[in-house]
Amino acid sequence: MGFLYPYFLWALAGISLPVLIHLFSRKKGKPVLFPSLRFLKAARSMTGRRKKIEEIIILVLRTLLLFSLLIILSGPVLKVSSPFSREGHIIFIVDDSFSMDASAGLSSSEKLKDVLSEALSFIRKPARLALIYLSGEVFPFTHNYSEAASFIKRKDISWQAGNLPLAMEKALKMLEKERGDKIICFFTDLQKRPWNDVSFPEFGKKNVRFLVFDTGNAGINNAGFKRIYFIPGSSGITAEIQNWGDRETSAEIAVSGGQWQKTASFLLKPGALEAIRVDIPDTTGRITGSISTGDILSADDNYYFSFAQGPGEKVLVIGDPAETFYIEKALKAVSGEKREVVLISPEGSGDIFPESYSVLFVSCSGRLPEGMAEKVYRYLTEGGSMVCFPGNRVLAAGFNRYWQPAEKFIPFLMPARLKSVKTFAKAAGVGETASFHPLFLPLKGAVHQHTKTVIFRQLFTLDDISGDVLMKTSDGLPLLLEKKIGRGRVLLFTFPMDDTWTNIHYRPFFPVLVNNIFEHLSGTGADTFTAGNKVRMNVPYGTEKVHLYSPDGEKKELQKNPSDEIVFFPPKPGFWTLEFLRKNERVEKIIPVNVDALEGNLERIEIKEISKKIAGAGVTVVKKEKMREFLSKRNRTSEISPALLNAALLLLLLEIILINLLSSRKQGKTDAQNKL
Amino acid sequence: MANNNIFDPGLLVKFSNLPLIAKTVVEGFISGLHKSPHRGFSVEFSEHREYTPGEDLRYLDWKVFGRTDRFYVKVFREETNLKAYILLDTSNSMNYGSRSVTKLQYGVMLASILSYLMVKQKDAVGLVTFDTEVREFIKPMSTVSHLQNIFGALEKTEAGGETSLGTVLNRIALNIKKRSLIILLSDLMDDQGEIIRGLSHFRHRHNEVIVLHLLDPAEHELPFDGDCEFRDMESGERVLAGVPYVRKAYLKLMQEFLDSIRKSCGENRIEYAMTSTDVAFDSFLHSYLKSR
Repeated sequence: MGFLYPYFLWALAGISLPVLIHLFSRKKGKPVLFPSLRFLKAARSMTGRRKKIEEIIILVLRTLLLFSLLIILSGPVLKVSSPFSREGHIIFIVDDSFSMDASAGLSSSEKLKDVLSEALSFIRKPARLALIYLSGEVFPFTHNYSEAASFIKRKDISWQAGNLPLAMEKALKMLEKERGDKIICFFTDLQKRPWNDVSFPEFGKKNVRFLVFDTGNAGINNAGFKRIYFIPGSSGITAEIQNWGDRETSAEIAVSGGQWQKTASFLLKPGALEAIRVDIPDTTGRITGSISTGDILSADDNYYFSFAQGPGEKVLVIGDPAETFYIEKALKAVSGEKREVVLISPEGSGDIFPESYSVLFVSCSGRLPEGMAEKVYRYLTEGGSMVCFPGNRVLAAGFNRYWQPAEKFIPFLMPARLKSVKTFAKAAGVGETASFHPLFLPLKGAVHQHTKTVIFRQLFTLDDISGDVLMKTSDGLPLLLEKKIGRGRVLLFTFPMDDTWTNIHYRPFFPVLVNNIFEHLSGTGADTFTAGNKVRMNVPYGTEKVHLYSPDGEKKELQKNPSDEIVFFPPKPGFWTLEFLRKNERVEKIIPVNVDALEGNLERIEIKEISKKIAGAGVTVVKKEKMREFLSKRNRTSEISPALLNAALLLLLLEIILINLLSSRKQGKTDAQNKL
Repeated sequence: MANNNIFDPGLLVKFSNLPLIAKTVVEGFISGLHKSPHRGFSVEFSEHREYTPGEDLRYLDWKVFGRTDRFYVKVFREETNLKAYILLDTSNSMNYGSRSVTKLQYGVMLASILSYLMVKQKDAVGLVTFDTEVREFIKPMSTVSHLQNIFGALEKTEAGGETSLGTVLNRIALNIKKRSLIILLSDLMDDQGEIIRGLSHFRHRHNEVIVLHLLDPAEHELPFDGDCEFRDMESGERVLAGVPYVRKAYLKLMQEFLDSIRKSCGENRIEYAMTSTDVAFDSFLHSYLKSR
C-alpha cells in the first residue's frame, strides 16, 4: 500500500487527541451539590466497569474515525497482490538451450533478453532475484536488479541442451532456507525434451509458486543432423539427418574437407530419419557437414566430424628388422611415401610417445622395456591401436606376464593368453574369416581367393580368449584376434613373421591385409562430443602440458588431475584441438564437438504434463505476448479511499448509535428538565 | 400542580410570612373539605358503629359487647387538648433544593401549616428543631400567642450540621414526658436502623408517631447529564459519576430505601408519608388526612 499525499500522515499524531479528550473528560465533571452521596457511591460502584467499557469503545471508535479520515486525506493506493514486489525470493530459470533460438526468428537470443529484461522491470524491493541458466550459470540472490540486468544482457543462448532437473534442484535448494514468497519463473520455449527427466512429486510441499513464461511458438518445423559416421573400408561417409517436424521438406547437404566439397539433394519426409551416403575423396582431416532446409533452427544444421587426426599416416613399428621388414614394406606398398613408418628396436622404445602414431606394430614383445604396457594402455584408451606379433623366440609365459601391467585396474591387454607352440605335421591353411569385419569387407567375400596359398607350420595355441577371432586355420585354430581397450583396439596374430612359422608375409594378401588393418585401426574417426557435456580423456604418457584451442583459436591451458586425466566442457560446436606437449614433441588431437542432435526436436510439452511432473505446484503458464499484461495486473495500483471512506462513515454511524443508546438512558433526566 | 395555586410551595415560599402562609393554606384547605367530618387528630369519643371484620380491634367497645353481645367500634371526634410535637430536621442536607424550594423551606412551611391547623382545633402544638443537636425546643401549647412563638422560631430556622437522627430522636423522646403526637419532618438521611430505633423509642413511650419524609424531586429522579462531580452537603465529600451510567442503579437503591423505610415504619406502627417538595400542600394534606 502506498499514499498519494503521504504528508497527511504526519497528522496521525493527532490520534492522541481523542485519547487526551478521554482522559480529560474523565477527570472533570460538572459540580453538583447533593444532600447525600450514600446511594450515588453505591450506584457508581455497581456501574463503574460498564461505564469504563463504553468509554473505551467510544475512544476506539473516535480514534478509528480520525485515523480513517487522515488515511483518506493521504490518498491511499493499494498494490494488488504483487508477488514481484513483496518480501520474498524470485528465481528466473532461463532455458538458454539452443532450441530457444528456434521461434521463426521471434525468440532469438536478443528476444529472450528482452523478455527477461521486461520481466525484471516488474520486480521491486524487497523481493530478491536470482538467475539460473539451464546451461549451468547461476546469478545469486540480489537486490541489485541493474546488475542482474547486465548479466542478462551479457548472456547469450548457449549451444547446449540444458539441464532442467539440475536447474530446478539448484533453485529449490536456494529457496529452501529462505522466507517470504518463493517463486520460480521458468522462461522457456516449452520444448518437451528438457522435461524428460524432471520429476518433483513433492513440489507442492515446498511452498514454491511455479510460473512458466512461454517464449516459444507452436507449429514450427525443424530438421538437423543426427550424426555423420564413417564405415571403415568404404570410400564415403554416411550422414543421418532427422526431420523433427510434421512437414515434408527438401534439403541439400554439403560435405567438405580440406580442398574438396561434395553436395547432395534429398527430400525429408515428416518425422523421417534419412541416411545420406556421400563419397569422399580423402578420409583424413576434418569433415564439415551442413544442410540447408529452410527450417527455423540453424544450430543443428552443421556437423563436425574427423578421422583419426594428429598422427595422421604415421606408424610406429617396434621389433627386430628381420621381423618387421615385411610389415614396413606392406605399409608402404599401398600409400607410397605418404605413410610415414618409423622403425625402432625394442631396446630403443623406452622413450617413445605412442600418441604420436596412429597405429603401433609390435613384433618383439618379449624384449620391450619396462612400463611399456602401461604406456600403451593409456594410448589405447584414447583411441590408439596396436597390432601385435609374438616374437620368434618369445615364451608364452613371458609374453602373457608382460601384457598384464602391474597396475591392478589395467586389464590384460591382449585378446588371449598364449598357451604353447603347436607344430603342424601338415601345414595348415586359412580357414574361416570374419568376412563382414572391416578387415575383410573390402575383399567383398573373396577372402579365400587371396589366402588359398597361405600356409602355417607352427602356431601359438591360446588360453582365456577375451577378444574376437577374425581369422582361423582350416583346423579352427585362431590366427588373428581383436580386442577393444578403451576407445582403441588391439590385434593379435598367433604367429611371428618368420619362414619357419608361415609364408603369409610373402603372399600378395599380406600388404592388402596390413593396409586394411591400418585403415581399420586408424580410420574409424574420432568420437564426436556434445557441446556442454563433459570431455574426459587420459593424457599421453609423459605429457607435460596440455593446451585446448577453441574453434575460434582461443588457447587455454588444461591441468591434469592426479590420474593423468584432463576434463573440460566444450561450450560450443566446432573443431576443438587438444595439444599435448612432451619434451620437444607435440601431439595434436582433434575433438569434433556437435550440438545435441535431440535438442532439434521442438515438440512442445502440454501444461497438464508439467503439472504432473511438478506435482502440487499449481503451474501457471503465460505466453510471452501476455506477460506484460499478466505482471501489470499483479502490480495494479488502485485507490482505496472510497472503501476507507465507507469504513469511516460506518464508524461514525456506530458512534452515533452508541451515543444515542447512552442518551436514551437519560430520558428520565430530560423529562425532569422539561418540567422545570 | 399548577404554579399559581395558593398551595403551591414554590409560590408560597415567596411570601416569607409563615402565619399568612399557614392561615391561607389551612383555611383554603378546610373550606375545600365542605362538610367532611374532622376526625383527623381527635381522640374524643363520638359514637358507636357496627364492627366490620378487618377493622382495628383497638377501637372495639368491649363494654357494649358485654351488654349486647354485638360488636361495635368507637368512633372518635375532634378533641381540643391533644399535645403534638413537630420535629423539624434542620441538618445541612435539608437545605437542598433543586428548584425554588428547599426541603427545609418546605418543612418549615409544612410545620407552620400543621401548627396553625392544630391550634385552630384547640390542640397544643410544640416545635423541636434539630440537626446533630436539638436547636430549639418549644413545649406544646394551644394558644394563639404560642403559635406566634412557633412561627417566630420557624422563621429563624437555618440549616446547619450533619444529620444524626437516631441519637437526637432518642434524646427528644426522653424529654417528652406525656403521651403526645410526634410529627417528624425530615429527609431521613441517616442510617435506617438508627432512625427506626429512634422512632421506636417514641412508640415505647406510648406516643403516636407520624413521619413525613421530605424529598427533593432531584433525589428521586437524578435529572443530571453527563459526568458530574457530586459534593455531599453535609460531609463535603466529592464523588465523580457519569449520571447516565449510575442513574438506573441509583433510582433502584433509592426506591429500595423508601420501600424499606415504609416497611419498617409499618412494622413499628409508625405512620409514614413521603412527599416531594414540588407537591402542593393541599394535595399532600388531603391525601394524608384521608389516609388517616
